Amino acid sequence: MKVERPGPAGDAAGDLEYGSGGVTAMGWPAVLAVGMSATIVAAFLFVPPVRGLGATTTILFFHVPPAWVAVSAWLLSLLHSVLYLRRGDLRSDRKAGVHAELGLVFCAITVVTGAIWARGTWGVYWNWDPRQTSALMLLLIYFAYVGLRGTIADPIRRARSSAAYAIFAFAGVPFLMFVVPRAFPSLHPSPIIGGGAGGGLGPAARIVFAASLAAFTGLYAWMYGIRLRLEALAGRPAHRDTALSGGLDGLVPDVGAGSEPAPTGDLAVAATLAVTRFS
Amino acid sequence: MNRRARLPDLLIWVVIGVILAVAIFVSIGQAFRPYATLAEAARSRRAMQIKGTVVEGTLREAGGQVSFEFRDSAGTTAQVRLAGPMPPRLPEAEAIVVIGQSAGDGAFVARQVLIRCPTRFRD
Repeated sequence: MKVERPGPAGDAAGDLEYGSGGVTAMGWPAVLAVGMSATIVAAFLFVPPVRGLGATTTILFFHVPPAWVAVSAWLLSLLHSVLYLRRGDLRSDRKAGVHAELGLVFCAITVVTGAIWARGTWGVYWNWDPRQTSALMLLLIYFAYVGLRGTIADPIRRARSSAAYAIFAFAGVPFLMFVVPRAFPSLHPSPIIGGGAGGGLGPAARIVFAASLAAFTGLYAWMYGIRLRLEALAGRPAHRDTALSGGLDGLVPDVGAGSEPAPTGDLAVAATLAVTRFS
Repeated sequence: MNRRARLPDLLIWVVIGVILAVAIFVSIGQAFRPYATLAEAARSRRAMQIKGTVVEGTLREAGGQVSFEFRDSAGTTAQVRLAGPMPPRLPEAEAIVVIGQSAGDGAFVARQVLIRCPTRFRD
């Protein structure tokens, strides 16, 4: 029989491993900043404008990689949801929630950059084109997921409902991301990878595209680490935790005798701690 | 529970998934069809979007108006008239969408022309 584990401080401490090391916490953002900056410079300077797209060619490197990252995030959310339903471990639920939430952020980046690109090429920001409609549908589906998580206070009920929803939500992803663009006439170009003999990237564009994909994936991993730590801190019974003692001694407010104990799971305090840790 | 006993459960879920996918495809498929054909536009008085191509060698600009022969996805052709200057990139467009209404004389009066992005990101 499956056992639900409510995830006490020990579980939270497990999640705190993400990005909590001194070198990782300081080095990863620096590596990311350099990588992303280099990608931006390369996209503007080294990729020749494509005939028919002109200067808007550059948007490709900030439009397609976030879409790939968003789909990967939702796939990971699905996997962690299945894991939660099989094992009843709330850490899996937390990870599923964070992946889905960040997938939403990266999908929003895709939709916004797509609309800007559409204005530059088609002539309008939004045309209810199948690709735009399908991306908007995915946004709404995962907004609903985040909304669902926000409305259920009980962690176990929330985890079960979210996991079931995540599985059904992901069922729509292949259809909306991969079937719609191929099945319906669209102004959107065919997929650049596997889009047929007439498509594809030039040598310079391919290198910058790979760099951009790596940079967005790195950005995702960094955000995931921070978000998961916040979730773990918000869900713990007390703010002071041995897992943080190395980096946060002296920063954690003392909730000892004589002072009013801070409320459990206070997100504001958790956010302050995390920002202090990563700044 | 062993693997063999789980197989019917899995099968039921796969069948449910396929039925759901088909139901979704049928019910929301219309949302992904914003583009009509010239024949549908001729039958309607409403403004419509039609996706197709410019017939090569027919693009003209004269008297503050652009005109060209347009072929829709069904293979039907019609003269398209667009008031205003030549839209940028129209001469080299792989495919376009014309937005407007059918005129009485069999032509299509466009108020806007959208240009499809190229798929080839190399020169």
